[in-house]
Amino acid sequence: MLLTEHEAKALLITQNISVPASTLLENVGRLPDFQKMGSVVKAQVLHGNRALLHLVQVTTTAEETLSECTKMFNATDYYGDPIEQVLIEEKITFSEEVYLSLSYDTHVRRLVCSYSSEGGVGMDNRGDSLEMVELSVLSEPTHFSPAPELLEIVQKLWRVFTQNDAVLVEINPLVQTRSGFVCLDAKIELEDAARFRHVDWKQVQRAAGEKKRTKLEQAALSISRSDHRGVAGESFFEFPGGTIGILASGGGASALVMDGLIQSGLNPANYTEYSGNPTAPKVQKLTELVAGIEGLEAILVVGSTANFTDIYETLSGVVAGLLSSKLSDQFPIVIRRGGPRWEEAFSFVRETLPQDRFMVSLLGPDVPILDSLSVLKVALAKRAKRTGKESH
Amino acid sequence: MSVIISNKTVYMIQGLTGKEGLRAAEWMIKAGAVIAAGVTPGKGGQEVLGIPVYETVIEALVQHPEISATSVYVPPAFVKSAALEAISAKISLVHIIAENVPTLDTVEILEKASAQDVRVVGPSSVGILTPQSVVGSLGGGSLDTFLFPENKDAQGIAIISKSGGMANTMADVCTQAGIPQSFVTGVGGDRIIGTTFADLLPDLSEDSATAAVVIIGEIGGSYEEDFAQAIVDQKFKKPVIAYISGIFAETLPTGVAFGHAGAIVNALVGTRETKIARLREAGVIIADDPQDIVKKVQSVVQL
Repeated sequence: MLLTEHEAKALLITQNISVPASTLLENVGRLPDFQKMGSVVKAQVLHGNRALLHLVQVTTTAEETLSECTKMFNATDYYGDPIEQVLIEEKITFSEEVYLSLSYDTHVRRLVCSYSSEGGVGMDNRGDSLEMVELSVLSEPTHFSPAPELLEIVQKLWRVFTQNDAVLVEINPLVQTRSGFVCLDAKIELEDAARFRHVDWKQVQRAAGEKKRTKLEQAALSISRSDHRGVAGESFFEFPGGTIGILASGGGASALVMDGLIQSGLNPANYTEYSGNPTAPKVQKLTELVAGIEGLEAILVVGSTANFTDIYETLSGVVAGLLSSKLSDQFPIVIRRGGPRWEEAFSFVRETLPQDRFMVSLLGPDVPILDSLSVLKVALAKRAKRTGKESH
Repeated sequence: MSVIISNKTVYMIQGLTGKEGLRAAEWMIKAGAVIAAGVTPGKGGQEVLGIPVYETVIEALVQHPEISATSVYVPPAFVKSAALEAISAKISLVHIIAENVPTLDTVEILEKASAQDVRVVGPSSVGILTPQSVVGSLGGGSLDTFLFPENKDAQGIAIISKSGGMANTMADVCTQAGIPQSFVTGVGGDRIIGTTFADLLPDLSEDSATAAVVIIGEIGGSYEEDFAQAIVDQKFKKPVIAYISGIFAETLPTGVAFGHAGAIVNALVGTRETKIARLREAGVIIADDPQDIVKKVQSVVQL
């Protein structure tokens, strides 16, 4: 999960990394004293390029600061979500700005520290200026050859990174002032998978990406984390206006299916995935969530030929979820699955789902995954013919 | 010839007494693997499926020095300690199935494994299957999914996928099309993994049973690009066919992991487009979907 700048700086402060004096506002209220000298007003959002979106403003007077704060609280972030926090920071005078980050690099499969002497805005276009140094996670770095004067800061960042299970700790820019190095902006991403050893993580329900979760996405996450058996809804995206409910299984197969959906011109209402042998009640709850999406014309339950996910157990959950939904009138359900106990599972589906409520197409492992989309199109056409409504 | 595992590999399962460990052991035995021991702290002295259970890896090794590989079937929070126990005992192959292992733990495991010359497959690897042996849960409990080369001189294809489900599905699709498999594995979809596509290239080059290689990749990270570079650097001669997903994932907000932890949407690196371009430059044939992989395999090798 990504942290806001303010949250990231709070972690840097634990290792005595200098940051500008600041005040965090949740509404336009009393301004801090230091703003008399002018301030930097920053919307606390999770995405980058804030300056381009006018979500970072430098002010010279109290009136200006107040005006910018008001504007920001009335603005939205890149994804259209309201801005809930604004950070007002003391303006800092500096001579040079550098870029410094710690992250995992998939090429060397180690922790690396990336450094550029040309930090600041526009780093995306200056990737070539980055120098990369491999670090061990087993012991603190003892030298930093690209900029030996930054070793102490690199060591502090290493502690922030390893103690907090971060996957990214980035300072940009880190500036040189008369009193030493100061971090003007920071981005930190913590790893959700490590939450079991960080009971204090308040942001644990936050989306992994830059966009905030919708209520439905949040509800799916809660289902997934209701027990430790597999995942069911950990990954959930809602697409308003979509008509196909998706219950996919397995990361690879879901990627294949979603690519296929897009290429076929079908319109998913959501994406979600269950895998790792989740329990039937968990899959039931996730199914209920998907089945409850307004405007659905069909549900696609699709996955690879599972290795160890019990298809009977998981499809029992799907069936229970469908039965407790409001779907009826031969609502199209296309199921493509294979793996342990798939034949038993298919018999159960056939026997349990009433034909007057659901029009079920069952496709086994001998049917190519993407063929489920052709079957889905046929089912949609049949439904459209019967109801007289055009499929979207 | 066999890649990574062979009929000489003797296994240990860490977490044998757990639900998933037990299922894996049943499957591995059914598929012909030899499991000499299990390890579950607190359950030493028990016997499961006729396999003795020990308190520690060292105890198991004292009784069964022939153990050459371990499969770690413990929850993510305990993977690091289990894997490090096996690495310090210098078991040459450590297979890790768990998903959601913190990357910090994975990197610590890999640093220590590298120092001890231990090969790690995973985390989030469903397993490895060859005509001679199997480790992990790859296969869904049924050997019908797979078609092996007819005899030791015959050839098949190697299937390497980040996704375990797609490894199994691809094997199934090939089996239905009559294409035998010499090696199938899901290497894992995590951000950092122990064995990548590129790591397997020297083994696949030497393996006389492998006529061609199929990889199933996805967006995020650099494993597909590294594989392309390794093909060029190592002058890999066998045909390679790749399928890379990600059309939909790249429509999602930046920073989102889609399906697998390592499939992270980033506008600058690890995109589907860059991966496909690099693979094509290395002479890899790009397929549109699993069925297309079959067609492309059939167009380059007769098996």
